[in-house]
Amino acid sequence: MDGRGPLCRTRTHWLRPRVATAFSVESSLVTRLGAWTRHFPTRVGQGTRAGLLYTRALVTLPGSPRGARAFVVVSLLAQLYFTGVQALPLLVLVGASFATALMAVGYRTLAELGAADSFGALLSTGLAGELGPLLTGLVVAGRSGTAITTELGAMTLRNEIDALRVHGVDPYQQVVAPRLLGVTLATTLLTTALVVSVYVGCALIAPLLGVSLREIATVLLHALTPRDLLRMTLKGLSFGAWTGAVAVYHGLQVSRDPRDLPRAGSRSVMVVIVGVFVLDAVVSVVTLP
Amino acid sequence: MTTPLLVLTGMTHRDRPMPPLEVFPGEAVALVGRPGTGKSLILRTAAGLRPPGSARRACSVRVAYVFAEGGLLGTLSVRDNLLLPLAYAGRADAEADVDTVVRLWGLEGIADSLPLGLSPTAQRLVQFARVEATGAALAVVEENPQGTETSERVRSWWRRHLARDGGIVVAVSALSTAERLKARPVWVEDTEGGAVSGARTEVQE
Repeated sequence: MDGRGPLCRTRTHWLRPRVATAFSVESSLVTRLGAWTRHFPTRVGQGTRAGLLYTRALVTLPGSPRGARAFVVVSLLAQLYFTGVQALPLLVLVGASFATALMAVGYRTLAELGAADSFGALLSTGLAGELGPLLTGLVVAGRSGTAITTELGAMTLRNEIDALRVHGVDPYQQVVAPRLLGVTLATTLLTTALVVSVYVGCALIAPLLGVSLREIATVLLHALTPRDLLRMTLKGLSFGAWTGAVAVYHGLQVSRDPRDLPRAGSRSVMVVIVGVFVLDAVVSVVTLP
Repeated sequence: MTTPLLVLTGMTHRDRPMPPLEVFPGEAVALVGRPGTGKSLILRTAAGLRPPGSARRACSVRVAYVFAEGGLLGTLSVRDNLLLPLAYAGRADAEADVDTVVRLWGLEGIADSLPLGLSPTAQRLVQFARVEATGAALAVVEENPQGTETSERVRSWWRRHLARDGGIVVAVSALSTAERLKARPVWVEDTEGGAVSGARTEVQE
């Protein structure tokens, strides 16, 4: 007899594994945090190196052989088609739905308060300068960013990138540059398309709410300032470039293990989304009046 | 004295020294060893796909590579896959050269197809055709899971390439394959003491 009752043994039985598990989880989290901190400078270095390589690819693109440029142009057009044209109906639908909600709630509420004139300013600052680029950035991040990472990861797994390299084809020029350019241009154009679709949607819905087309057009267009347009363009360009660069980087990081592919996709989309929000804040602050 | 097309010395793999590799014009060398012994590592380092590290690599000629799987751009047609390296090399008569290679390899029927829709054997043939199109002096060939090397088109290219003073490095897992390919075997495997035996030439035909 060891002096411990059955209850004590039961407690020990239940507690020990839980305590052990809790401690192992805690140590695992601490270990992971430590590893992340330790690797952070390396990651920053790798990211900077990748950024420089991408910039070099873009800068040297015009100097590539004439025959090679045709392949780059085809690749660029394919990217523009996928990111821009194919996503256009989705963005227009988002814009039209948004316009309906804005007119039904926003305009009517402001009109009841006698501040209908402020609706234009709300749309100009809130939509063209803030929400429009952000919505577009998130749609592009989820749709095209993941697709690019997966595509490049699969290309790495199928030895396509190595094949380019060994046969004298610069993968940065042939694969990276068209995707970067394509996503950047497409995001900027899609941002404009989304904002335009909201404006057009507002104008089309206005007569249903008893507001004349002339009246709403005056409210909307008078409030639109060059600063809002600049902010919209800057955000479109920066979100696109960021999405393209991060997606390409994570795609090319895939090793010869197919299990890396979904991991790379999920890492990429998370980094892109966080970066889009940070860039949004930075551009908003930089372009303050 | 003939200058070798490729010299690769001082390589190590899992703390084991790897055999030195020298390929001379008109010579085929077979890296013989079991899976996992580091044949692909040598091939990739030889082709410049992997940094040599502490090893010494000297290669002054153009290299082409035949991968075990994939290796062709999935978004480009077979013809464009052959054309792309030539376009980057700035070859003026690239289109005509590719047409010649397509005819020579009997690829007319699939020239406009995308590679991913083709069988692995056909993809491998296209890769060999690309070696010929690029005019690379040194061909590096990964181990072949499809048995393509036995096809007459590949054997014919093999003879043409060596006759033009080109070199070939191929990875095989059986000595009999190296003998069939008439390639000088270089052993890449553990011996009893964990050391590598290096080049054994007693079985060379």
